[in-house]
Amino acid sequence: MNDQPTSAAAYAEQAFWYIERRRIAEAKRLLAQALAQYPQDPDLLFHSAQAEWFDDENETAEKTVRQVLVVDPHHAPARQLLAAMLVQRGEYADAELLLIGLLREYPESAELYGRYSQLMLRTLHLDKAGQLAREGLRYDPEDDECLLAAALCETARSGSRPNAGLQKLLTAHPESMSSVHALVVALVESGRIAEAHRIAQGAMRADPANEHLVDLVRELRIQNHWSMKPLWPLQKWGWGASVVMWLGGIVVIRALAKSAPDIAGPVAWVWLGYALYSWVWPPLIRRIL
Amino acid sequence: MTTLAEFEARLLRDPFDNATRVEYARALLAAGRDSDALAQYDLARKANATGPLDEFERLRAPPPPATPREPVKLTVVPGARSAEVVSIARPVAVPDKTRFIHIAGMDDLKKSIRLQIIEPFLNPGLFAKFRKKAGGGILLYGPPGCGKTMLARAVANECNASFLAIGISEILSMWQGESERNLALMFDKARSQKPCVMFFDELDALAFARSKASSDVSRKIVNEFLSQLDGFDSANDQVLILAATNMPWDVDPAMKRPGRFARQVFVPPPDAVARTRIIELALESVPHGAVDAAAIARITEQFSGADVDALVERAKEYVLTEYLETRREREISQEDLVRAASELVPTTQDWLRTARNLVKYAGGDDSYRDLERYLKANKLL
Amino acid sequence: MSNDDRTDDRDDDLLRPTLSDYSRPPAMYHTTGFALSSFFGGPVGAAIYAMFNTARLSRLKQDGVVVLALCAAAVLVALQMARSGGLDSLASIAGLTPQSTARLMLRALGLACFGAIYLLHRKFFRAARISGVKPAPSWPLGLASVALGWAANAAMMTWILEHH
Repeated sequence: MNDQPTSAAAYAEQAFWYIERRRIAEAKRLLAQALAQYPQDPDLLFHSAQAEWFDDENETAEKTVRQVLVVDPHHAPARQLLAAMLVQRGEYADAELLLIGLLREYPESAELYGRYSQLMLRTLHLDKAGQLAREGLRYDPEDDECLLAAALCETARSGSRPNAGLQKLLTAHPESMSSVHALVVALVESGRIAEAHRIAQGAMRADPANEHLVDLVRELRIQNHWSMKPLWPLQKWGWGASVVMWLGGIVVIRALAKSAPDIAGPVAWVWLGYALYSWVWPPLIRRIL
Repeated sequence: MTTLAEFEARLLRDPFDNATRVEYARALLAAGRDSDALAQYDLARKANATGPLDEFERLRAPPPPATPREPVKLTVVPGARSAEVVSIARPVAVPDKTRFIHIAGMDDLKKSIRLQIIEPFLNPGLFAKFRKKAGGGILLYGPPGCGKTMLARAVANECNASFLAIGISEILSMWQGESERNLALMFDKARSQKPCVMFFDELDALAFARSKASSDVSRKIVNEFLSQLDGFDSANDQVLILAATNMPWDVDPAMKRPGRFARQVFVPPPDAVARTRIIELALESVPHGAVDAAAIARITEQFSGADVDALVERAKEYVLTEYLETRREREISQEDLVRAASELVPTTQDWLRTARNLVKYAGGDDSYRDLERYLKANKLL
Repeated sequence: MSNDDRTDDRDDDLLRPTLSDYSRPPAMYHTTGFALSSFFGGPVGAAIYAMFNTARLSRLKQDGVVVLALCAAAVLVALQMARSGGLDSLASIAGLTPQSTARLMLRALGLACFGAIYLLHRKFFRAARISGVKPAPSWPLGLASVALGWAANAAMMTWILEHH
């Protein structure tokens, strides 16, 4: 930057700027320089933990974030980061306690309600997740964390039915990654694979280094491949379609065996072939594509 | 005794008090903050507030030789500690007068840049006659260390234009509103220096996608950038705007619309001819035996220019390490280079993996067509 | 009670920990495992698999009885079909032996149980998919459900064929 930072706050601001752009190496260099001068500054330590976290140095990141909490036990961003680390490690109960502690201190933070709601969704406590998202939206009707949580809760409940939560999210934050994520999930749940694929591709163009997104697009590409088109009833209705196909197949073949024995045999073979195709082809195409 | 904070407060009150700035630089030096001291001293020097001062000048790395000198003998002072072992002269990274003729290989890229950038700039009438669209900025993208900056400088020289290189440090300021002002000033400066090539390095950092940015500062800079590019239309003759980025996907999409950076040019890792030349240049001033640079180039597919430099550095380390162990001096050999090539992983690989994902899975974006061609040609897709 | 008081109450309720007694990640067992257990294990296989999934969701109190009732109803339907002569009618319509018809009927009833229980827990299955929670390892439970369900089916078949 034009000006050499002259205070810990200036260093922290600059470090945040680098981290936001995922220029982690630069951020780390700057923070090392800053921490040499201000070794106990909680914001600098926090950004250092953030940089390590983005660099997948999870252990160092956690050590550093705990160091922040020794210097400043009330440091809210550090506690939030620690909660995210705990969620990633699957230590949901501890993450919940941290979020509750934060919410007691910042009872009007919609973002915290949103994050807590997403944790509840992840742990399959749908009712509480929905309540938390609604509570957060009372404080800030446009908070994207709460809108995302609300949209996902509604998708889980309603499947392919109209989803007001998703609509609100798309209206408030049409370009955000949260909106894209929620939209793709809703489309996949409704069996609209082609649309989900197109939207996920658009998101990937903006963030091709995102491994989760790459996996999602790869999977949708497979599902959307021409050779998977014959399997669309199974894609759209899942196990329901399989059960109907099994039962329907038996009824039809038995009926044909009685009324038109000549075609019963070929139909039975087609039916068996289709069943076999639905079992064998999807894993095969995953290897090929 | 005046403290650093007091100096800072004084300079905040009067940033043009260069005498204080020199004193501040000395205080920083005393505090062991060498690079900060050098930066303050340079500011004072730019304002002609002081002549060269040895105490600061010694902080600088030795300047590169003005003319190619005799290959440096790899001499080691007997009994010296490893830290005192010779320094080996390195070629200047980007000479100011670089032209296309100085860039080995990359013929297709040079041809494409000449057609897309240089000729429309030099012969606007010809292009207008054929109704071929010219104007707007050009975005060079590709893996890091592959010579985007050098190409931009060569373009400026081919266009016989002055070159205004603008990096993050020239624009971004910690002060509110200052970054936008710096950006506007740079555009004004370019307008006053026609013909001029403006080159924005690391455009992804300056024009970071607003949908990904959480700070207002980032949004404001992009808005200012857009209005400067759009407002430039009327005065864009004789000013060429180039930008480079390693991460074109992080650049705000609005920046890539027609009239802005609508054209994107992929700058791939150097081809075999270019790698051969880089190896030859890197070995030029170093004692070496018979080296088949072309053979090394063949086994260093996807190595960036910086990687090839690192390879030669690694080979030097082998020679030096061996000397320290055996006290027997020898030249760099072909085997050293082959061994270094086998131990180094090209730094372009992560970038190319991401690019492959982008082309293979994200699909349907014409702006990455030349990247797709490169990936296919190199069997990476 | 004022509006504010009510809000405070609701906040307190929402801010009461839900996960503190969790000893394992809350992943459900795989849907495929559930479908296959129901297909090969019949209503009993479906019941075993579903009860474990319900326990994973900590919903044994709310849903345990429903799951057991559904599967018990399916078993009763099968037995009743045999006693009332429905099985023989079905066998003659389909042109199959009573043994094959009984086997098919148990499978169909197992799948019916699967469908009903899946509908009951559909939102949780969806939430797990949406959140990207990986399913818990399902092979041991699936194999156990199939084995126990198969044994129960064999016993039921014997009874059905004796009483049809």
